[in-house]
Amino acid sequence: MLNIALPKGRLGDKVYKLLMALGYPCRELEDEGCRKLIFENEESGVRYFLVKPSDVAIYVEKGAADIGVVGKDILLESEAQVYELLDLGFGRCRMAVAAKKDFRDDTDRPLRVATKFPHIARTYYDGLGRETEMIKLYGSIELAPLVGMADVIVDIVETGTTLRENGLEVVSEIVPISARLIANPAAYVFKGEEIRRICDELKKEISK
Amino acid sequence: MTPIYFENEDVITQRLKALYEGAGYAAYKIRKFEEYALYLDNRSFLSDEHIITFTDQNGRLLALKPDVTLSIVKNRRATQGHSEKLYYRETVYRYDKHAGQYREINQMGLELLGDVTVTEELEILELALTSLSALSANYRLTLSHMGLVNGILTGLGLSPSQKEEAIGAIGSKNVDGLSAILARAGASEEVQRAFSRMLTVPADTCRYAAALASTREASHAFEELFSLKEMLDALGYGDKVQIDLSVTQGTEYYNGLVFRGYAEGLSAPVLSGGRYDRLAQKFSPDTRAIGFAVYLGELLYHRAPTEYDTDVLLLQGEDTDPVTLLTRARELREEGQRVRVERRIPDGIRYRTLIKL
Repeated sequence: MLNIALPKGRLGDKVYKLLMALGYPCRELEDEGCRKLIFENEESGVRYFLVKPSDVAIYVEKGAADIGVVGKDILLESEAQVYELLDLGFGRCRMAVAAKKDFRDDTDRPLRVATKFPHIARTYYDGLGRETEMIKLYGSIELAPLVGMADVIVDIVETGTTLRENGLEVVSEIVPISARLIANPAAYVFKGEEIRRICDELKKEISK
Repeated sequence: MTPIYFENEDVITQRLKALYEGAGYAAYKIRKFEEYALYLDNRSFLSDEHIITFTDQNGRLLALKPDVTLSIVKNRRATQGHSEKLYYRETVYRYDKHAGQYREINQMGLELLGDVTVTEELEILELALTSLSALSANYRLTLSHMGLVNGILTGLGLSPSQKEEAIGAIGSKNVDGLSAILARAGASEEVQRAFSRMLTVPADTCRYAAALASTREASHAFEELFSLKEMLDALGYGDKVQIDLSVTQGTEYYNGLVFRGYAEGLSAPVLSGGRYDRLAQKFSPDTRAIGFAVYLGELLYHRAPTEYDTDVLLLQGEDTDPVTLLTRARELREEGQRVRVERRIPDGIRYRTLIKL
């Protein structure tokens, strides 16, 4: 039995469709009204867990799921001890620093950084040798510089529309982000053949 | 879901102890704390920089030990010709960044300091394999060699910082990330593809490793690694041992063979070890070293649930004297039963038999 952690939402739906085509269907999962959290298809030997996107990496690291699909942002932030087997190429966006259009960095004091990703932000600014004061937020990050609470934000930027509408712009890019197929290292030892097959098939599928 | 259960940690510890003593390794006990400077000087040997520190009465900064190997190499002066074979069972204190708290981890392990040749490496690998079999019938040992990985990367002309980045990608089997790093260093697409296959297709590992191992360091390491695999096959461990070049350790201290052990049902490697001459030589120049640790902590969460708290609940009647009661308890225990003596039935207790005297 292969345990797969899927992120709830569009990314999870997309990955499920690919996995279904590879021989891992699960009818229950297609029923949108269903409120279950575990979906099993004994016949095809698969069990899906639907979890919050930011929790996928931890389910895989702790071995509750053998493989999973997660954004690179979550992997970088959590530093989960997992194998990162494949860049699925979708869900593309970038982790970037953004600030108000008239922003000038005052190097005379620590930079106030508002973010959902303090680890990524700290690693980035440590690399630049810039002292920072982190402000961890859980949503609407763009508000922080507008109300003067932070100088810059570190966040995911897809199209940049939210930034523009709030008078913010990208100052610098930190790293490109996309969805990754991850695996638990112990599962890779005992179920390696099946995991490698899925990885190879997914690779073929996305390069079509 | 069908859970996989392991035996009690104490039973496994006793079994490992017998195994190590049977192989001539002496028990070695160290104190719970060390001078903090030891960890500060060898920071990159540790997986994490969080250490619990405190000051003694003379103002010296001490630390609860996050690692055992450092204490052993610091305190023993083994040299070639004067080898030491030691095993330990210790508690280490490490920070769990997900949980944001320190954990106490029970660890057993062994270290061989002094002379290390292929013979000693093979002995250590066999002890690692028998340690794993003491835990579970379904286990695997994965092997790599830091000289092979490092030598290949040197041959491809990677700078030290690119190498570090590449070893990170290799360790997480991130072949897309690795290809990007190799491309930046000017490696051809063919080399990138060979590297990917070497890491992800077990059947191709040997072929591509041989093709990529162009430097002396790499080809020497290749010979050593694959001949050890052959010797393990000859010892009967063929299906339990896999070469997996994504097993990595920091090259600052680990210069040779590295390995990890897995038991089915546990989410993380239960055994980890390798050849760490560079660390040992910081303390004693003319020495070699190899060892491994077995992490017993996760076993706590994989114990079979007990059906009963006690086999017999022995209740004291109003007229029963304590001597009669405890004599009966002793008799029952001698028959191999767990006996709990009470004057009334405790709330929530699960017992197989109730005897009222």
